[in-house]
Amino acid sequence: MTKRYVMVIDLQVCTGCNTCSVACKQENNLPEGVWWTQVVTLGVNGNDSPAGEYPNLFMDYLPLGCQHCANAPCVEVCPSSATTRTEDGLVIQDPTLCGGCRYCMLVCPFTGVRVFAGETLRYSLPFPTGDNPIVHRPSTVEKCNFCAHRLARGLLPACVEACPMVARTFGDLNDPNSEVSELLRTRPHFQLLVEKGADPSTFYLT
Amino acid sequence: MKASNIKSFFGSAWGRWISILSLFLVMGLGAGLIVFWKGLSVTHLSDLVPWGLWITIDLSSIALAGGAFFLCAGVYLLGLKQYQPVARTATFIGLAGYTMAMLALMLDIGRPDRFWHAIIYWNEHSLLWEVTMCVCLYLTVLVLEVLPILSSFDWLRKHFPVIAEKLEGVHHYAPYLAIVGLCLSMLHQSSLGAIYGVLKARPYWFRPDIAVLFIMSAIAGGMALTVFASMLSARLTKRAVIKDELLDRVAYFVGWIMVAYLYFRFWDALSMTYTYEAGRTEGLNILTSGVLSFNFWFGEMLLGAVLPIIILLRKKTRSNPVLRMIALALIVGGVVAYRWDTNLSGLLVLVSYMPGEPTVRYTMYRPSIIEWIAGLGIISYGLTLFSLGVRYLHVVDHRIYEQERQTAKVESAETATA
Repeated sequence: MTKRYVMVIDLQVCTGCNTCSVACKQENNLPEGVWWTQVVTLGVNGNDSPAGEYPNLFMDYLPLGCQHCANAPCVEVCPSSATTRTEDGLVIQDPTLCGGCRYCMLVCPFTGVRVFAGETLRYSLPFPTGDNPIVHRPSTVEKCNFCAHRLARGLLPACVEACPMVARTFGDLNDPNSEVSELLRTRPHFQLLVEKGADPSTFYLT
Repeated sequence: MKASNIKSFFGSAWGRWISILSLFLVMGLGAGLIVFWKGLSVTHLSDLVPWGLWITIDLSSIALAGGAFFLCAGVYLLGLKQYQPVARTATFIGLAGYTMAMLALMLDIGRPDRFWHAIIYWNEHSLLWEVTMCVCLYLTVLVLEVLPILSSFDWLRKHFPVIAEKLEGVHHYAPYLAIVGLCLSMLHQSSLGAIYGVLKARPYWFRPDIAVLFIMSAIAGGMALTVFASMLSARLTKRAVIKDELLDRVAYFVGWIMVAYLYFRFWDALSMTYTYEAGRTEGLNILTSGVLSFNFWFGEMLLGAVLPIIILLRKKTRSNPVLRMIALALIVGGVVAYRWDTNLSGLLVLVSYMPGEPTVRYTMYRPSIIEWIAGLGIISYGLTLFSLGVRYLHVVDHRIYEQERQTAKVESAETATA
């Protein structure tokens, strides 16, 4: 049976520390301004400010990256086949094919998942970091690839390894004995925007 | 060139017109080079509003080139031979429009060096792929259709009569080109709208009607521009000769197309007002009472549709050339406004991700100065091409009926097989 890689994120324990964002940035050698994963503060514009009316304030976080939808609309619309879905359920964006038309940014229901890398890619460090062999191309659309290069070597995605709260779990949903299957059996959970029919591979535990 | 020649060139209306266009062209070229050098960071396009002014120019110029396929189909497939000179003008405008669209797309995509990827790396599911293929193929059709027009170039006729004759001979294939053009245009003119219409992520766009509205407005706008440009050229230069009764009939037809368009548009808009849907209702509010409301009520509805319909359908007002030209120009403006509004009313609204929490955020878009300059450069390129066509290729000349004999032969062959 083919695999279906999914990520399960426990919103009960996420503290919004953004370690996942930094780990991702380091692992994939992302240029300045490009983030493949981010932590959204719910209900407000901007980060780390409470939503609601005093005294009923709350501050909840939503780690957000590419949802690797089983029924990914971006794969359907890319005019130059730069976005593809692998057998294992990874939605991959190929920077060597992307023409930068940005249609996938319109079609994606999860605003902010995709980033258009600018014409000049600047890096804070003079040497590449991380193990991802990807070469970032200017003026292309980029997004999370579930650390496909790490999965190939039997490792977990960088954000899963880095999360200090162990909020992220990664595994094969088609394997009933996997940790993610166990979590989704026992804990209440949701996917983002199920009504759009994309069937995301990222599940949030509540 | 002698000094006196230069002086007389700039003294003439033609010289001044071309100088102004050249100025805009050079500025646009400069802006375009800046875009290729610096990338899209010089624009106000963002990850939240990725498509803006250039996409509007692209969509509008393809829509306004729509007269070419429709009139060619009428002339060569329905046999309305008397409109052949109008179709000739429309074909040339079509070539100008599609090349303008290509230029706008080259600016807009992040990697213009990879524009050919869609042609090599097929993704048959993608509407944008289908549009790219259709536009490339149809541009080829348009080039073939324009070749006989090039044979009217006096200089070519004088120095290379053999080539001119060969080019003229391409007209023999006009009926076949009209069929191919009709198929390709019906496909991509509507799927340009469907590019928006299939996006379930954007509730304002997600409806099948956009495809229908796009092709109807393209037919009306394309023919309106053709008739308007012909009439304007005839008023400005002796090189353009028109038969007013032909243009009168086309303008009358445009009026009825606009009625049909308005009918579909009305039900399209009305159906969105029932029940609240996050994103869709806000998009409609932006259009009818928000930042785009002036564009919508005045640009699209009152001036872009209702007023021209009244002018074009009443014989008394339509027979007045000035009123007719105003009506046609307003339709052209209305089509452009429709493209701009469709693009932006979907993009300015962002729907929240959280389940059971239909909050909506708004974004802003205002084209940057570079976008405007490059856009104006593209528009003045189109105007330059058309002006040169009128002056040197007799693009607007209703006395020219090309090769009656050859088309008659094709027609008789067709009837024989039928």
